[in-house]
Amino acid sequence: MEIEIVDFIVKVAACVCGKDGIISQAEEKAMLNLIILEYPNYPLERFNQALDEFFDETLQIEDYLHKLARSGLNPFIINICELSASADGLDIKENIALHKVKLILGSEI
Amino acid sequence: MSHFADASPDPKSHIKTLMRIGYTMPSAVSDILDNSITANAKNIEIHSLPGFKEPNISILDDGDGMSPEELIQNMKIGCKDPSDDRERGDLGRFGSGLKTASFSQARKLTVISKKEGEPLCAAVWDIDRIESENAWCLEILDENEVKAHPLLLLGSKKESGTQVIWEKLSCLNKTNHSLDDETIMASNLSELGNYISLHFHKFMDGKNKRNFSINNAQLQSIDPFMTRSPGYQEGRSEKLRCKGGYIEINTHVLPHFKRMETIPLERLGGANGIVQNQGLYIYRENRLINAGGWLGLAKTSQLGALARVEVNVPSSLDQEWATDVKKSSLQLPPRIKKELRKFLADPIKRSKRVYTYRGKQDKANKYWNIQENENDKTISYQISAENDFLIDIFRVIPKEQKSQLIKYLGQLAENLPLNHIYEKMSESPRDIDQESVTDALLEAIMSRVFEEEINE
Ligand SMILES: Nc1ncnc2c1ncn2[C@@H]1O[C@H](COP(=O)(O)OP(=O)(O)OP(=O)(O)O)[C@@H](O)[C@H]1O
Ligand SMILES: [Mg+2]
Repeated sequence: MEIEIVDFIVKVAACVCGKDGIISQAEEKAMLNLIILEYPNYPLERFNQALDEFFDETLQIEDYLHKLARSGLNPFIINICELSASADGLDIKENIALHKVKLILGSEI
Repeated sequence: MSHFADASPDPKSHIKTLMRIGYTMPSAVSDILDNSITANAKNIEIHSLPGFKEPNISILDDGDGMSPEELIQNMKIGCKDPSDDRERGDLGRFGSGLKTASFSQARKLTVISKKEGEPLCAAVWDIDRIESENAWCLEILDENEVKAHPLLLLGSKKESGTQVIWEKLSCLNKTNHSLDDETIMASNLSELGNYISLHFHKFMDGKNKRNFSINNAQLQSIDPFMTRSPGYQEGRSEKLRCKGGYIEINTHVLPHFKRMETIPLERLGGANGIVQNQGLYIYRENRLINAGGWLGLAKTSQLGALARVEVNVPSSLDQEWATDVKKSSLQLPPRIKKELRKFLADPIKRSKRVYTYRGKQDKANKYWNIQENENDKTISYQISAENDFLIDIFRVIPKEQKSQLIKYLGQLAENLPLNHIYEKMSESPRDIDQESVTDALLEAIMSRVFEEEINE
């Protein structure tokens, strides 16, 4: 696994869940569980660091997805976005962001 | 061609604006305490030294202190960029607090400081001089002058520390003219002590512990959640990840009034204070900013009196939360409002439960009916007709007396002193004692009847 790729996946999911500056515990937990399931060696510190970086960066969802282009992981990315964002109910903004991920990645599946 | 003219503010009028930022005395002192805490002070002492012609206030700490150069830089208003990232635990933001808080309370600010390995240094802002010179002229004292300063408390033994001195106090003349300065000062200081004990309570216990004192009397923390009282209930909690850390939300339900210990209850403003101060307790880097009130998220109600929602926010979110210079107000971002709403229902519901559990006897009782009419949203308290005792009486008394008694009982219910009961129940519920009322009634009636008999 390329560890940077996982960082970007975390950040894409964070974009969807943290659309308005906050990621809830339930969302964070769902995100982490899915990541660990897929990448058991991804360290927790790295996960935390990726989330901290996400809040400090000004990059948009498109920018992160761009870095994941042709990674062949599109179904996983969509899945993690969907499951983590809906961990505590999907609100309108999250839904729009999720839609955007699906649109951008969907055309690449 | 356009050109530029120097239009910087006139010091004389600018200073007047800065004096009116709207601090209260306690919130101004808190801004000075913030600085001491950020400078890692372990002991923070507030003194009002007696025996001087003019009253004065000193805030003395044993923190890191400042070098002479740092002191001069930090005496400037706006000495730091508000948008700079600050370290976790730094309570500053605007580079102004020390000056604006001081100017709101005093016309003369002296800061004496000592950093490890550096000489003792001091600088003075005197508003009278700023006004007469119409210039920002900061007075720097030389070492001998500092050592001879009549209000100097910062010992030369101490490795490091800072003393902030307020003179020419404007906070004293606002209140009652007939009282002398010392009396006003004493009452201000006692109010200040309560404010600090509540707003800095997280710095008074546990791993963050520091000592605070006023005129050598140590301050004790006031825990607004009464977490150590029997009957306290801890509720749901959540950590929300955000820029620069976490927002932490904890919910609390206070014990029922009857189980509250007297001293903590008094310190939280009595039963009235408990009711009024229900709501959100928002902390910025552990310092309390908002002590109660639901900020529009819920209604203050008698039954919700025991509900408290604690919110801890890192200073990295100052911009989103619109923290002001005084650190005494902030605005909830919409997203947080939404999140918080989820947390309100539970403690409020539990508060109601605790509240009404103790009042259960009031509800179903053989003597009173509580009639709640859902349709016209009215409630009335009526004397119960189902009472065996009453029915027995009705069986034995003649018809005439029956209607008299009914009339009397009707009047009794109509004249229930509801407002008075409500007031007392919210102010001092524990003072109400209904246990000996029957004896009192009997005695009163007996003595009246006895009197009448004698008169006859
Ligand atoms: N008691 C103190 N001990 C050591 N340094 C201090 C003390 N008080 C103030 N300072 C220094 O002076 C600076 C200016 O303080 P001031 O309160 O004016 O602004 P601030 O704390 O940076 O921001 P804010 O306006 O939000 O309070 C501080 O940043 C700190 O470096
Ligand atoms: Mg400050």
